[in-house]
Amino acid sequence: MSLVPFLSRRLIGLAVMLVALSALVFFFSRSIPGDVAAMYIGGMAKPEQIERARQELGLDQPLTLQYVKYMKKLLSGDLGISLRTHRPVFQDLLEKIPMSMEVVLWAIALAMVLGIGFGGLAALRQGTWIDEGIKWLSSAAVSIPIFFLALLLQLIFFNLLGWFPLQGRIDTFLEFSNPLELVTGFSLIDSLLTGNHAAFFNVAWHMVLPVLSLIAYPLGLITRLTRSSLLEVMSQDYILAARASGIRESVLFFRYGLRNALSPVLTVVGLSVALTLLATFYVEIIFNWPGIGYYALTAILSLDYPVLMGVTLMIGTVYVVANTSMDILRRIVDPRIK
Amino acid sequence: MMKSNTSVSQPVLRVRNLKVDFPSSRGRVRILEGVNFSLYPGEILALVGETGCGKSVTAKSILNLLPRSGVHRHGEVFLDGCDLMKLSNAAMRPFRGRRIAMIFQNPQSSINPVFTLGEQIFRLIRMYLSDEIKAVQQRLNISGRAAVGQIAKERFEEVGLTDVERLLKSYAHQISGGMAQRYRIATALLSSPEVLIADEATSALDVTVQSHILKLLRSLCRRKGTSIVFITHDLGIAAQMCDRVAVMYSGRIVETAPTLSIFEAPRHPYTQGLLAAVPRLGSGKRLANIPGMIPDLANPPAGCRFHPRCPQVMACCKEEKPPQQDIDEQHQVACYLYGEHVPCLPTGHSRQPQGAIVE
Ligand SMILES: Nc1ncnc2c1ncn2[C@@H]1O[C@H](COP(=O)(O)OP(=O)(O)OP(=O)(O)O)[C@@H](O)[C@H]1O
Ligand code: SF4
Ligand SMILES: [Mg+2]
Repeated sequence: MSLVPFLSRRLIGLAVMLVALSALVFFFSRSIPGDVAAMYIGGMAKPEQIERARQELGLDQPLTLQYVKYMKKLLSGDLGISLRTHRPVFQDLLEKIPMSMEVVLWAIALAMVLGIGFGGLAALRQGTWIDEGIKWLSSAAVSIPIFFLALLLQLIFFNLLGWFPLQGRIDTFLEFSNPLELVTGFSLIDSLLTGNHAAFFNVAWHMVLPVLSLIAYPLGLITRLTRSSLLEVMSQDYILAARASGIRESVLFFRYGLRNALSPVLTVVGLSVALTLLATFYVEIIFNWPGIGYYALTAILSLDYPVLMGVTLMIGTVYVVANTSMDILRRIVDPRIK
Repeated sequence: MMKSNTSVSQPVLRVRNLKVDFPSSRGRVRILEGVNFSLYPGEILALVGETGCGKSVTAKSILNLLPRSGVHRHGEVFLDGCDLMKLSNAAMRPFRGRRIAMIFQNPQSSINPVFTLGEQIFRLIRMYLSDEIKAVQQRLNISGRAAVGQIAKERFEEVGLTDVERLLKSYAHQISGGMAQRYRIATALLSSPEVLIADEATSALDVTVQSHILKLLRSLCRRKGTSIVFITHDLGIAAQMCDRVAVMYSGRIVETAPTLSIFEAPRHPYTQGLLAAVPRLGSGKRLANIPGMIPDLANPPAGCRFHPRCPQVMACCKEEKPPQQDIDEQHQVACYLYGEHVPCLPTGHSRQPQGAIVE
């Protein structure tokens, strides 16, 4: 009944998964093609320069030793140096992650609230045109390719209507008049904390289209799942029994039904976080948003393996952490979960 | 066995000509084809019949709990002179649980799994028993919250649940089936309803637990003045537990009589078949098979729905459905073998009932 054993089991599981993830990323990175030391030096390197770089990077040592060193560094927050920019990867990530997560979290939070709302409404009005409309829209939302949606939104809201900016995170003139000061890295929070209202509204305004592009898939998924889960719950014996004991229909639906239907929905929310983080790769490029997607793309193009390892590790970590936190939330709403 | 004086008192619940249609892929299906029965104060009426004959549909339509889309109900359901069939869903709500309560076959699945037993019974106590909460509050000089807890504790003890504090914090999956059904009985009888509909309330439990629950149900209902419609497959339980028995076949009640008369002199050929198929009463055996198939409700036989399986079928049985006949004041049967008017002559069969006497 107590949450403590459950929590500790989940946290141990989380730690194990993170270690396994880091090992996986390490061994994969060592099997990618290309001479890393040569890339580090850059074009036209002499053999002895490459050899020196190899020693500098520790690439001449046995693989297991390299792994131990890598893990030691990892634990102290050292993800190595970018081969291209020669800057510490960890610092880059620390800067880029909040920029991407800010968009991702907005998209997920809105998708969850709206998805549960629409799914609930569709179930409540099962078989009516409202239900049909929501079903149709949510199917469309999960099937439309994200880059296409992003371009479509730009076409409509920038080209045709001119309501929202085409690209970027903040207008250039504001960068000079009201520059963002970094506190948490989340620009909306930072601008509020520093009382920079002009920047706050400007960033929010720039964020609308990227968030709308990202929201479609999780919103459609959560809506459909909420609807089917709720309909399933509403046909259960305990709902019939509660109705037979004279409990109000609205209480049955919104308090009992939704609470019972929530657990599978939370699982999907967890999965959507990672999927949406991957989807930001397209969206950031289309909207020129300076987040992790942009950073990863340049790393992929130049085979910058420490950056790729860092990004992979980071996405994996977000995935594992999101799922674990959703498991914990599910356990709180549904005591049957072991 | 308690004998209720059915000829004198008014019934608490009177179901008249209840008809229910369900939509199906092959058109409308008439599940109930005119169900009639009365329930008298303090009595326990058994409703028995093969699976799919419409017992649960009867129970649910009394409280208007059938699925809302496309289901048609006709007829009358009088509770104390008020026709429940005329009420809207909202107007029906004050009757549910307060005046007519219901318990179902699988006790665990009819308790919400994500709330504790306490959270659920507290809500019902607040809903039904506001006067009693105030009285307890004044008597013990405690807060409203504590009074609700106190009432829950009393009601748990009443149904034989001990270790109340722990149970109130438990979830459905943490308690046994027997405890779950005791809890369900406690909640169903919270407001001392006039009628309790128990739909296979003990079928999912093992035999010893079953007999404890049955005794409990009987004594509690007698104390609170609650009459029971006891739906069961088990003729043995019906014999032990109930004052009268109504036998249902394919959407109709074909025979109603005091328990003794039904078991000693069943009149309807279907009842006779049922009893012949049970070797010993009270052995806990379920209804055994009678030769033939349960009729297809989408395409039921014309006339008496039992005629394809009836050993005493006559020509007229296939044409029109037999009216209800009085054998005596308390014994009714719907079969052409009985009654004053002979609508047709037997086709090579005797018109005399074959009184199947069981032991
Ligand atoms: N929601 C529904 N939709 C369509 N048909 C239904 C529905 N509920 C019940 N029926 C049909 O109504 C008929 C009677 O069902 P009911 O549940 O009342 O049987 P029962 O006598 O309670 O049987 P059992 O002893 O198995 O509980 C069955 O043929 C069933 O298929
Ligand atoms: S009415 Fe006819 S078919 Fe039906 S039970 Fe009586 S004798 Fe049999
Ligand atoms: Mg049933």
